[in-house]
Amino acid sequence: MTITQHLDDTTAASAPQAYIKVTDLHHEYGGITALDCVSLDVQPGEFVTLLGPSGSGKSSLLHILAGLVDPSSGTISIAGTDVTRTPPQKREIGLVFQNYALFPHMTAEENIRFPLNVRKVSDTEAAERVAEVLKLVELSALAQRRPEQLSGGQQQRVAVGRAIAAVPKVLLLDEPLGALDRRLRQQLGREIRRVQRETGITTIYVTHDQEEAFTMSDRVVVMNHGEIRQVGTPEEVYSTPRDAFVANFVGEVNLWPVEVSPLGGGLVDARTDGGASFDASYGSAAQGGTDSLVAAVRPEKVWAWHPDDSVPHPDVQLVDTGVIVESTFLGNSRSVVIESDLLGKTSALLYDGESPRYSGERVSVGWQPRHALVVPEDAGSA
Amino acid sequence: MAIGALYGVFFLWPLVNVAMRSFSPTGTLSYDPGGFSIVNYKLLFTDKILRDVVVNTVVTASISTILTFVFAFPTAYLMTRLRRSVSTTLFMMILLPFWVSILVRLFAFLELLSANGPVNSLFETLGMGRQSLLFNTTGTVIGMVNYLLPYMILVLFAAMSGIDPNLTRAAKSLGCSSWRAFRSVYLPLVRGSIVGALLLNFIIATGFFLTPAILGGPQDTTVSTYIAQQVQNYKWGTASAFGVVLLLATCLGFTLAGRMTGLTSGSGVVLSGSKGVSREQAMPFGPAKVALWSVTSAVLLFLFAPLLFVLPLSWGVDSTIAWPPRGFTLHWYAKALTDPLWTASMRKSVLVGAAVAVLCLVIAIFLARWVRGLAARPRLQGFVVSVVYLPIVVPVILLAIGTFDVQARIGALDTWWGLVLVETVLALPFTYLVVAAALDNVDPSLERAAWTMGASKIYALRKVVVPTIVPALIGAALLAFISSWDEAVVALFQTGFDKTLPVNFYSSLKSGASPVIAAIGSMLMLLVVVLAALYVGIRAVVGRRRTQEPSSVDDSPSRKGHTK
Repeated sequence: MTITQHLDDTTAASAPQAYIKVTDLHHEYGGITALDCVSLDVQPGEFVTLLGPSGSGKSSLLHILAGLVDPSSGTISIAGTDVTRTPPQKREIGLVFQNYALFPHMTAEENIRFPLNVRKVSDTEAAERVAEVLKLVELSALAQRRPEQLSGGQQQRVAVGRAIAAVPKVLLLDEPLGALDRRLRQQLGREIRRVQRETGITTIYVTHDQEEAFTMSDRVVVMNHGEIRQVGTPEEVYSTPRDAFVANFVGEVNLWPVEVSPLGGGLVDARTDGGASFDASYGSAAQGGTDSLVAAVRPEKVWAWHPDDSVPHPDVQLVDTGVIVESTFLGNSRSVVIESDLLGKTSALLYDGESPRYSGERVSVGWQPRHALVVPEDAGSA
Repeated sequence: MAIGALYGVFFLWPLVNVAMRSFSPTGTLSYDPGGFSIVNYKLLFTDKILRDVVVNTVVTASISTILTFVFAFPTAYLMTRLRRSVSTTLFMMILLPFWVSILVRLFAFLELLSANGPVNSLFETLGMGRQSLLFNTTGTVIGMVNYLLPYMILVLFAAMSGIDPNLTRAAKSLGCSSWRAFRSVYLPLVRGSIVGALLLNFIIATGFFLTPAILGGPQDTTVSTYIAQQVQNYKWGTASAFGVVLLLATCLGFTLAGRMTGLTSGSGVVLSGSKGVSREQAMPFGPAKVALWSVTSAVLLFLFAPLLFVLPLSWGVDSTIAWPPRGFTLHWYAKALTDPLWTASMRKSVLVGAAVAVLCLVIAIFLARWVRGLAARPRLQGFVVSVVYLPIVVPVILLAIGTFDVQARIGALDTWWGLVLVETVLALPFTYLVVAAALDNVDPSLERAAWTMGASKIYALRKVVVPTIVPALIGAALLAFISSWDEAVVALFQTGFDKTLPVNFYSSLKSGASPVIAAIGSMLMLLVVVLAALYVGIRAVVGRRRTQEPSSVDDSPSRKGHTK
């Protein structure tokens, strides 16, 4: 059986039940709560990313999944088997470490062959499998090199190849692109996704980089302070964040504390401290809660136009008028900060043709009601 | 557990034993509290002869320590200010005599400093007249300084290489003169280490046994030689009281020195490398550098001259040692290698040394891993590391008399395994230092990576961790072997009929030098050179195999992944 044939196996086995099931995981060390009531279902063949700032518990969760750390309580099952107390040796997982952890005394080929040797795969079969993996990660020409003779990107590929060589049930990646520069990160991110698609191995990926999370994942799990804050597709998480933390962590956002009064049709009238008032949509997490609420508007959804002109789009509402105090050229766009009486500072992203756009110019600011989302300050764990 | 038992029986029990005896007025061992008395301790402070012994020991140790420091400091400082390749070479050269048997060096000094020896000939030609350099304090001090120099240089070098040279550069950029920058920035940073190093060397110097026994005279007995004399006459009382005082002073000094040099913090690894100090800019040429180099050259001459001096002594044709040697013959080598007295002792030394090397290596690996796992309990970690290092500084004469007694009780005296176990305790600090340093450089995620791929813990250790530190393991095993191979004091009290090589050597030195001893000394020295060359060679081969192929060129620079 080759690695890519394995794809058919997993899809055939795709039952309605989750492939990885994490239930009520709780973990403490040294009196610090690293994970609190974490539950998560992952479907077979899915690529799920754990996204969060450092200390959010995402790496702890990954290490618990790998069996390198024992959780204080809760259970984990993989493919229907409870593995909570199974040692890492018996879990049949592939783990790619942040620093790759390549064995320095072995060549790329020997590194990839290591898990097969451990499992006492016959020589001919192992050789075939290694050749296949080398081809998959595009390292056939460099098979005889030692890690120190390989570039960072090549080492990363060896690490991925080694992790999938024995066809693990689950592939776990712990910030595998953190040590590389931006361009290489994007390229290797795409490659990891390609390899994952071709092998169909259920994958959990840890990162603090939202761009990586969005471009690679089927679903994103946003974590903070040891809790899962939101689970969803990249689009869901970006455009309908559950609370201010998620909105802020997955991208640039303007946030204003607001008081709301309902208008019907899912809309509310939102009033900021400064006295600005606008129509906004009411997020599901905000309903029924007594928490303090904020209105979130992404910079690219903010319109800016000349105060003498009329509203540039029929749905856009005029919210305030102010002065551009900062204007930064970003290549395909321009990021500006507008200072106004009612809103204070507002960030906006302006594309070609939109004006005014330079420091010192007076502008009107506004947005569509559907692009202003009212969410709780803190919705707690998802 | 087993390690604990080993230390219990072959390290702690002997010391406790000595302590018990010190409280008995007759010096006999009894666990009966009725016979408890401090009469032996009173004697130490009242008896005039004993007081002279103490004063003599302290004076000799102080002079030796200060002299050692005067030479070691400039050398260590120069080493931190040289290009890395040069300083590594110097480092190796200073380490080399460290591993040549002290007995060989003492033998060389016996001949060098003798009334008709080359040093006195030189004095005479210079018009200074012949001096009495042997069998007095001068002789002892010369021998001690020779022995202490590598220790002191290593400790100072370790401390100094942890200091960022940019600090003095920064001081100079702020307007300090070179001297002022050195005095007000550099010295305060190394002051703790200097005091620690002085203390450490002083402790070691007070515990010296072989050097005063061979180079010193009968008038200036030191504590160690006094203890040995008394115990050999089965007079344990004052000897063991002396031992206890010496031990307490040692422990106290060691703790203080450890605090000051940081030797016992963490897993006890200080010589593991640069700590990110940039050394691209070597010291500029100038009077300061010339002065430093001249001191360093003097140190090297002083370290190497006695070693090289042994060679010509071994090839003279005369049947007594004479300077300068007459003619050339390898007859004495042949005699040394065929005389059953010497071959039997060589065989025994090799066997014991090999057993000690294997045992030390296994223990050091497990111990180092265990200690590293104790990071969450720094106090226990520090304690374990201190115990492991203690045998280096506990006066070896104490262990010798203690184990002599303990082994007699458990029936291990005169057995080869009894000797192996004691020598293991003595050699372990060196082995541990090397192994722990190497293991510290192994990324712990390598092992975890192997586990996630299904490798059992033993399999991961064997296939992943051990292969990455092979050169260090070979080095550690060699150190253990040489440590046991050279050890004479404990073995002196241990072996009855079949003596080890150093014990034989010691007895022959005492009974009068012959060219056979010179031949054996030369061979002992050459052995160290061969082993060192072997080690360097293996490292070079391993290193070359790793860099055989050209470095790749495509995306980002290599090793980036490891810099995290």
